[in-house]
Order: sequence, then C-alpha cells, then structure tokens
Amino acid sequence: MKKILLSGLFLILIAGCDREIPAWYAYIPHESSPIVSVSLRFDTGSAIEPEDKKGISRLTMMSVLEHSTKQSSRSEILKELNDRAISERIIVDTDVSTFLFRLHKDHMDTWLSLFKQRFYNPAFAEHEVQLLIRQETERLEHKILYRSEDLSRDVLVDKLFSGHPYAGLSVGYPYTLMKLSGEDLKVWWEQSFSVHNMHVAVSGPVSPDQQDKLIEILSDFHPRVHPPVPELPPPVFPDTIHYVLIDNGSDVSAVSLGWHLPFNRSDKKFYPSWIFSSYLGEHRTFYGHLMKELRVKRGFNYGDYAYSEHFVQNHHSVFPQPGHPRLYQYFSIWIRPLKNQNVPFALRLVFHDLENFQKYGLDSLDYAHTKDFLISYINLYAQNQADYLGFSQDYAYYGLENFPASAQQWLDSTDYQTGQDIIKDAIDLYRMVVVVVGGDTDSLETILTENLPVSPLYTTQPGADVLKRDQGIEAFPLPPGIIERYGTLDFLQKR
Amino acid sequence: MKKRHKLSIAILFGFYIAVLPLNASFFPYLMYEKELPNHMRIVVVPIRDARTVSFATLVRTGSRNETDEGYTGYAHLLEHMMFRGSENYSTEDRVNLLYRYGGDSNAFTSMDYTCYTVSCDPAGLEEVLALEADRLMRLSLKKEDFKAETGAVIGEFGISEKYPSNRMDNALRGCMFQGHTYEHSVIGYREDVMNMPEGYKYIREFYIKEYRPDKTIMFIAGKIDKPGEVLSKAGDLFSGWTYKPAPLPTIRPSLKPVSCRDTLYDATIPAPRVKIAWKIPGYAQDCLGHIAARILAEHYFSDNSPLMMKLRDEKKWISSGTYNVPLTIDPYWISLDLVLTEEGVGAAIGDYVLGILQDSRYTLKAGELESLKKRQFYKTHMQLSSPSSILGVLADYAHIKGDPQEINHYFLTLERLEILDVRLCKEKYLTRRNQSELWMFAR
Repeated sequence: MKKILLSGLFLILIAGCDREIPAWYAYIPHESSPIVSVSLRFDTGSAIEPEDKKGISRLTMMSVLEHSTKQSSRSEILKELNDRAISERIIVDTDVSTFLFRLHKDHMDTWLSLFKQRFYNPAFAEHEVQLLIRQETERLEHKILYRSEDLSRDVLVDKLFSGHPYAGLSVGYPYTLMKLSGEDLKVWWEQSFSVHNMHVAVSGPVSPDQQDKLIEILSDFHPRVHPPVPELPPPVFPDTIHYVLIDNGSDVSAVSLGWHLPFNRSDKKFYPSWIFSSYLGEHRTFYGHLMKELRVKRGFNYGDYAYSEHFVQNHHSVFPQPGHPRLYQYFSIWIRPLKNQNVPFALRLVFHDLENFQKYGLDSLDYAHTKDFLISYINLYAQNQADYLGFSQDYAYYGLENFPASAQQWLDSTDYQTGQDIIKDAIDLYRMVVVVVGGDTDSLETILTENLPVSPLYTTQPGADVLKRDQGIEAFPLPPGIIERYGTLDFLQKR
Repeated sequence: MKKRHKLSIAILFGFYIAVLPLNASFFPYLMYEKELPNHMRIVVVPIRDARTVSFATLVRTGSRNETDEGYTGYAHLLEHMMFRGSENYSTEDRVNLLYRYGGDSNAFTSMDYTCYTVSCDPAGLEEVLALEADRLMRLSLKKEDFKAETGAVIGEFGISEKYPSNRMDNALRGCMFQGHTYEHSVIGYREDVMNMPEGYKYIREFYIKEYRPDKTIMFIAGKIDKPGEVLSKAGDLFSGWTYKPAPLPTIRPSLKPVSCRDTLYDATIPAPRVKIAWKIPGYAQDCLGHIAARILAEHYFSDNSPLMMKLRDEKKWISSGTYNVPLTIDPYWISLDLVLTEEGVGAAIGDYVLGILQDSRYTLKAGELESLKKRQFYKTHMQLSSPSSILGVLADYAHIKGDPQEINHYFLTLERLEILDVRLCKEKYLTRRNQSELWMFAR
C-alpha cells in the first residue's frame, strides 16, 4: 500500500527556523487554544508481536510513560505530571502504536524535559513491571468476565482473523503477560521504536524554540535501530459461517457478527461500503436501519450498529478513536444485549435484511441521504486538536491527504449505480462469523442446528405492521454453518 | 468591574443581560447569557476556530428528584423518552432533521441532573434549536413508545447490574444515604425497573412536575458569529414555556455521620476489593467544605500519594486504587476503591487508611495546598478542548444552583481556600465514625 509522509499534509511553520524540518515532523498552528497536543506514532503494533509475547508493545509503552527512569523515581515523575495536569495516553493497535500528549502551554518546557528523560532512560524496573502486569491481568480478566459486549467484539476479530497476525487481543493474555520481564520490555523498546518508524504531529501554541527542542530530542531516538516492518499476509476468508457461542449464564446476550472486506479506506470501493454501514447504523445513534427495526419498533435492546472498518469508541463520545488504521478491514454488526429468547429472531432479521440488501442494494434516496449525512458527520470526528492530529495521521497511513476533505470528496465521487454494485458485492453472507455471548446457549445451539422457528418475545406488543413482518422472519432459514461452544474464560487460555 | 462589563454588553445586545467573565475568572471564553421571564436561562459561547456547533440542555432533575416509593429510575427513563418525538416532530422527523445536519444527539442522567447534547453542522443551528425546544415543552410520551423504551432500559439494567463496582456502589449508598434519594442508583432499584412497563401514568406526571423552564439551562457553543441573534431566537422559542409553580418535593440533606460495614460475595471476581467511603458536605450547602474535601481526596488518595505508595509498594496490600468525589448538590461521598492482593488484608486496610489520615506527618502543608489548587485549575482547563466538552464542564458546575457562572465561583472559592479550612474538613469528616467500608470477596 502506498503510504505518504504526514508532514506533506500540513503547513509547516517554524518561524525563524533555518534548519531542515525532518520528514517525520508536522506542525499545525492552532494558537487560539492554550492546549498543546503531540501525537507520536510508530509503525509497529501487536501484529508483529510473537504469539507468546502478545501485549508486549502496550506494556512497554506504559512502562516508559508511567515508571521510573534512571534519574527519577515513578513518584517524582508522577508528581511533576499531576501537578500540571499533563495528560498522557497510549493507543496500541495491530499496525501502529501511538503516544498522545496533551498539556497546557505553560508546561511545555517541563514536559520536554520529562519526555526526554523517559524516552531515553526508562528504567524498566522489575518490581514496577511486575506490578503493572498484575494490574493489567486483573483489568483483562475483569473485562472478559463482566463486559460481554466487548468480549463478543474481541472474539469476532479473533475468529475472523484466525491464524493471521491480527488475531488475538492487542492487550495480550494473562499467560503471555505473566511471562514478561523488565528486560523483555527493554529489548522490545530498543528494537521496535526508533526515529526510523516514527511520525510526529504537533498542534497548539508551541514556540519555534520548543519545536526545535522536540525535534532535537527525537532526531536522536534509537538512530541505529531500523525496526522490522510488519509483514502482513492477506487473511484467509472462512469457507462457511461460524457460529461462536460463549455461555456466561446471563439473561441477556450480546451479539457481534462480521465478514472480511477486500478493501480499506485507501480504496475508492471503501466509501460505498461506509455508506452502507452508516445506513445500517452509526455507533450509538438512532439513525440506522437496525436501530429502527430492533429497538425503536420492537424495544428489544439498547442499540444496534454497523461498522465498515475496525472500530474503537473514542472514550465517552460516540465517534471512532483515531489510532486504529489497518491494512485489512472487516465489516461488522453489533447487536447490544437482548433477552436470550430473542437472539434467534434478531439474527434472522439481520440475515433476512442483509440478504435483501445483497439482492437489491440501497434505495437511491437512502444512498444519497446517507452520503450527505456522512459528509457532514465526519466533521464531528475531530472536535479537538488531539483527535484532529490522530485522524490526520490515520489518513496519512492510507496515503490520503487533508482529513476530512479527502474522505468527503471520495464519498461524493462515486455514482449511485457503482456504489450499489460495490455494496452488493461486499456483503459476504456465507463466510461470516457470528458471536453470541450470553446465557441459554444450549437452546440456541438446538435452534441453529435444527433451524427451528422462534417467535419474538415482546415487553409490549408492537403495531400490526411489525407483527406482520415478523411472520416472514420467524422461520427465515439461518444459513447452516459450524457451531463452536466456549466458556467465558476459555478465551483467555493458552492458544 | 463586573458591573461595568454587564452594563456594556447589555447595551450592545439591547435587553439581554449578558455577562463577561471577570478578567481574573476561570472560564476563558466569552459567555453571553439571558434569563427569560419564565426563569429559563440561555447561554451562548462563541468559539473561534470551531467548525461545529454544540448544544447542551441541562434539566436540573436526576435520580435525586425521585422521591416517590416504587418509582426509582424515572429520570433516566424520561431521558430515553425524550428521543421518542414531540408534538411538532415525530421520532422520524427528529432523526431526519439531525441527519440532514450530520448531527450527533445524545444524553445522560446523573444523580442531580439530566443533560441532552447535540452537535451538528452550524447551518443546522436554528432548526435544531426549534427541535430541542419542542421536546422540552411538548414531549409526545406515547404509550406504545413508552412500553418499547422500558424494554431498552431493562436491557441496560441487565448490563449495569453485572459490574462488581456497580453492585458495591449500590450496596454502600443504600446504607450510607438512608432517607435520602442518593440511596438509590440512577438506573433505579431492580423491582422498580422491572415494573416500569406499568408506569406510563407516572412518567407523564413526572415530566410535568420536573421539566420546567426554571429548572432548565440551554448552553450553545461553537461556530457562532452572532451570539445576540442566537439568544434572541432561543428566547422567542422558549418564551411560551409556561408552568404552574407547584412546590417540588423536599429533599432533606443529612450530614449525620454514618459508619456502614458489609461484605458481598462473588465467586467469579478476579481479585478481592474494598470500597471505603466518607460522607462529605454537598456543594450546595457548603461549597467551601465540599471543595476542601476534594482537595483532601487528591492529597491522600491520588496515585502517587504516600498512602497509596505504602499500600501498593511497601505493604503490597493492593494492586491498584482509585478515588472519586462527584460534584453533588447534597452530601455525598469521597470513595476510595482498592483492588486487594489477597482477601486476608481486607479487614486491616480500613484501620490502616484511617491511621494515615490521622497521622500528623502526612497532614496537608500550605505549599502542597497551593500545588493542589493549581492541579485542579489545569485539570479543568484541559477539559475545555471542544465545544461539546466545554458545555459538558459548564453544565456540571451549573447544575448545582442553576447558575451558568458557577464554574467561576467554584474556582474563586478554591483560590480563597486556606489550609485551616482543609484541616477543619478533615477533622470533621475523615473520621472513624464517618468511615464506611464494603468488601467484595470470592466466597
């Protein structure tokens, strides 16, 4: 895939600076805000981690930010950061890993010095690393046990990309994390992160001197190391549907389903597919077809959405988090928890409607309205500088300039008929993975195996038109496939 | 100085009472404000460089206002119903209008208030304003929609009740705030939530009783070239919102010390936990005391405090810990949530924490107080990063007394806070007879 340097995207302004600006550095002036944002991205991620070291990138980056250096204790560093309310985060994904810093302009000089110290002299002290491993393991087990919705989505990716470097959790597993040591992290830091796989984007009121200083610090960051470029083979598409049932004994079940897409955001074909997923349902909005069918008309659950690429929610907003560009993408649908008894009906409704979309595509008005909506909606993705930097870097990964204008142009450039054909082609009904995390999976297995019709269970009876449509869905044949059964914690066991 | 600013802006915008923050005040943006004869307030905050416009409508009703037995969770249920159409805009009309402007519309309910947010293309400002006005003043509340929405809430309850942290919160607040509506969670008691499908008559009464102009503030921020015009249009839309000023139920705050102890068991939890909490003053009754308590929490319980380092690094009793002090109207808590390394340390940990609180070697010093004040200042400043986040911060402060300028008052009070105030707060509230503890162990 073509990649371009992010620096080419931005107006580079370093007043009074005579020396050459490195290609990996970009600055966006934004001086009306007192906040400085720095996004430091490396072309490395969980996809290059060995199977038995899954999670090492994240752990390494956390240790660099949060632990002692050879000069200062963890407590001294934290005090400096906390007193200034400096915000530091990491995002680790399969293909890229990002450090994100946000600080008030008053604290730029202090931060530069703290930053340098930690990047050049992290201690990777064994007792701190072991404590971090313990905390991460507990967090992971907690998430798997109690966040059935997250689990359904994690398992979907794992199964879709089975045997591929994208499989598994980028945060690692208890059995991989527990084997890691401070020395492992040190080696990983020194071999996977360097000026040669780095892109820096800065925004806010940063003086030319401060920019010079940052460039100077980073120019010398592991200069002799040339980290390995991830080799990512195309994923193998499943040859049939896989139904993955995970029993957690709950009254309600979370459902995720998806299939591979043969393109990503760098391809013109992506944009009609994006229009289709948006039509089915943007994350946590009421607009979508699925939301209207399952929640609004039937009161089944809290929400129903679709995605045309890997999606991670940006904190408490409803928008995607930047920092997750991927070479290989997939289409997914997320049905939030519904009563166990309603899972067969909800699945049938989804398959029934997908089959219709595969045959007939989207209505031309729906296509046009959704396209116009997206052209506007993408403006909300980056409401602050830090997100703007992140999305600009994501677009650069795909070889695109000018976020969000390039996406808006591409959305607008595909005519309806071409878009229709792409949408119909991209629905891969019979090579799908369906994950259900909930209770009473024995009954669900029987229904799937014998294709038994099941009526929906309503809290309150919907209108006659809905009931009439239900009759055509209750017995809709679910495509036969392979059924796999697991317990909740099986997913954390050695693979 | 403040009066002169008010006057000059009032002249500029005719009859509006607009307020410029004091030069020394915390909030860094111009705030144009108007109070209507029906006491609803409208606040406009233009933001240079913004590409979008955001709305946050604050209704000062949350689970705190659920005073009727058997009807907990209705503030949250009503929040759901606010997306189900109004007199002039059906659900579909609402969705279509927002869709046209690439809008995002959401909401949340807290103990003290409910907040409705919209962000969209600036071209949609006027139409969205009318849309929001219609649902506040003329909500449809159709029976069939209500029934369907109770299903969504029951589903949400199913997710929420699984989290150990929620179960611990519910158990502890149930004991610490008996007799006050903070006793129940925002989503409500299980029995009440399951009975919601039968509560149609009640939700209509609740809407009429609680959704009133004098309890509502609409904030609008972002790409706004003519704030005066926006204020005027909003004023026209809401001026017809009338209400009968019926007395609202009395909610009596209590600062009576309380010391609860209990243990929950759950075989599946990955690690044992303890929650320790102290009842502290509400901001509405004692803002100085409340702010002092927040300072104390940061001093004693932040990640690199001596107490946390001792528990984690020296004693190795905990693997991690977090604290929480919500900004509330009535007395609520400082809570400290600790993940324990083993069940055996559970019983001793409360006494150990109390010992550190009472040990003069760890008492807050004057210099440390100044650092903590700056920390709060910058922390809040860092949250003001986009139109929607700016409004979120403004609403959180404004909900306490219904004053959009509360954020400035808060930081003015913080600036005046003295070491004596903080010590007094510690002596009054961080005591054994006001300390509650709840453990969660695998059986």
